[in-house]
Formats: sequence, structure tokens, C-alpha cells
Amino acid sequence: MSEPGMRSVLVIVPVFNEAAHLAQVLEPLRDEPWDVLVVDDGSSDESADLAEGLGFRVLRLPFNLGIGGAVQAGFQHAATRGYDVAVQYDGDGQHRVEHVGDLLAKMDEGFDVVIGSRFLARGGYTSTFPRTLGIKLFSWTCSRIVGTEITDCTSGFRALGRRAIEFCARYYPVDFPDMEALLLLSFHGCRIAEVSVDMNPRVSGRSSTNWVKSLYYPLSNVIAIYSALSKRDFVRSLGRRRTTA
Amino acid sequence: MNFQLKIMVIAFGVALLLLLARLIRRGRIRPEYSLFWLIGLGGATAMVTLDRAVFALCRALGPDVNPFGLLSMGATLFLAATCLHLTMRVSLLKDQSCLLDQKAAHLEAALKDLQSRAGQPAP
Repeated sequence: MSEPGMRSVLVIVPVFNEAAHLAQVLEPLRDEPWDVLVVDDGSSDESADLAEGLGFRVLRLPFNLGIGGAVQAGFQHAATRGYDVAVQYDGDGQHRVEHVGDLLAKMDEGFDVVIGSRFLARGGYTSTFPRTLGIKLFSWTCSRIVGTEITDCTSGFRALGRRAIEFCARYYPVDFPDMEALLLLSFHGCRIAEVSVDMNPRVSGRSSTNWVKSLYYPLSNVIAIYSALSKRDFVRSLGRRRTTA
Repeated sequence: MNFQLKIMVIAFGVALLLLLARLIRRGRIRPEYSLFWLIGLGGATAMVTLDRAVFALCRALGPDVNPFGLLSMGATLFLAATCLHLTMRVSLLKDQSCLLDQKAAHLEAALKDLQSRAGQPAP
């Protein structure tokens, strides 16, 4: 657990076959006051042993579930251990440790979910045109549904408060998690905000900007929106029950 | 359909049936799912064997009914229904295996905690 008297923070780092660069990704987290949980998503390499050797707590999934299942396992850990805040932090080296503090500072303003956005500051992040256009289009759609301005609905760099952690531990959408999770959290009554972050180029893993992904991305997001909307009443009723209780 | 083609299709159906029986015996296919194959295989073999009767039946539905089109549509619908059923089963199994996977990871972590507290080496 983090320092006594302060809110407890768990940084969840899902990894899958990242052994080659994992030390580089985890090293900056070592001296921070937060607890770190490395979720090994059924890696066939030495990722889990390496993280354990570096002194980090490791949750070993017996086989590969994908990013959604791995992150949900992290939320389950955070929920059962009673953490106040859980931060999603990619194991591919894209996220910068100095921005975790920015996410946490924003949470102090009373938000339940804070997203690290690559697009909040103008000209901060560059990607291929179709990808940027896709993210902006879906972020616009997401904003209209949620009723809060969201500029980066697919960012995996997020901080979640207690209410959101408990929800995600049970109902996190594991197939197309980024956008659907945001929508569901909003329907659940969570307050969402963004802070501007810079991201590193990934140190490992494959880029997701190939043409197959270009087709997959918009389709998966359309399905994610539909799936979230179809669960809206159920999720809202959960939120109301919680408020009444 | 000519006689040689009919024999070939029936031989193929019998071979597939034998393969199915072998897979069930070896536990590679659960008996529950072999039902689909038996129904599909039985239906296809019956249609090939009794093609004249099946065509006559299709024509009896009306003068505008094209037997080939009707049979193709029936086969497509059967395949689509089978795929849908299997997708539903796979989705359920994926949910269940995800839950089991996560539970196993949490239990392993809890066991490690207990062992480290008791001073025993982790497994």
C-alpha cells in the first residue's frame, strides 16, 4: 500500500511478451510513491520473471486474454485491496511517468475518471491522417453521448477512482475496452475529465497503424458504441442503486 | 446429378461420418456438437441421394420456384444458423475462460503472499 495518510494509488501495467524492453518501462516507476502491479497477460517470454526480479508485484494470467482482460484483472486486484485510485499504464513504454502526477492532481478536483489525452494540446501528437481522423471522429461521437468534451477516447492512459475501479472490476468490457469502458463509466454516473499528456514512441510491440487495423479500428468502435448503448439502462440502474445505498 | 457424382458425394459423406465417429471416440469433438454434423451430413447426403424427389418437391411449391436457388438458400441459412450457434457458444466459453484465468491469477498471487508471510518458498 502507498504512504499512510495519503490516498492509495495502484499503477496497473499490463504486459505481453515485453521482456526485451520491460526494464526500461518499469525502471522510472521504481522510485515513485505508488504501488505498481504488473499484469503478465500470459507471456511466453520472461516478462513476468523479469518484473518480479526487478522487485515489482506480478499478477500472472495463465494464458493470454488481451489488453481488456489483463487490465480488468488489475482493477479486480485494486478493488479487493481497497485502492483509492488505479492508473492504467501501458507496458510498451508509450506513457510517461511524470504525467501520472498530472492525472492524480486532476482527480483531486472530484473526478472519477481522468484520461491522459494526446490531443488536448494542439499539435502535441502526430499520427497517420486516417488514424487521427478516426480518433477525432469517435472522440466527437463519444463526447456527444457522454455530454463531456473528450478529445482522446482511445487513450489507454487513465486514472480511475474508487467508484470506477469497483465498476470496472466487474463490468469492464474486455473485447473493445477503450471507448466502451468510457461510455459505460459515464452511464454509471462517473465524472470524466482529461489532462494533456505527451507520449513516447513505443519501445516495443507492433504499431497498430497497418491497413488491417485501419479497417478493424472503426468497425470495432462502432460495435463498442452499440454495445455500450445497449447496456446503458442496466449500468444506469447500477449507478442509481449505488447512490441510494 | 449423374450416377458417378452421386457415388462420389455419398462416399465423401460416409468418409466424413467415419471421421466424425473417430473424433468423438478420441474426445476431439464433444458428442453435443457432433449433432450438427450428423444433421448437416444426413441432410446433404439425403438431398444428393434423393435429388429427383427433392427437386420435384421444390417444384411443387410453385411454378416460379427455382429448386437450385431454394436449396442453396436452405443450405446457406443452415450454415448461418450453425455459425451463429457456435459463435454464441464460443463467446460464452471465452467469458468463462476469462473469469477462470483471472481467478487463477488472483489465487496464485494470494498463495504467494501467504507463503512469503509464512516464510516458505513460492511454488
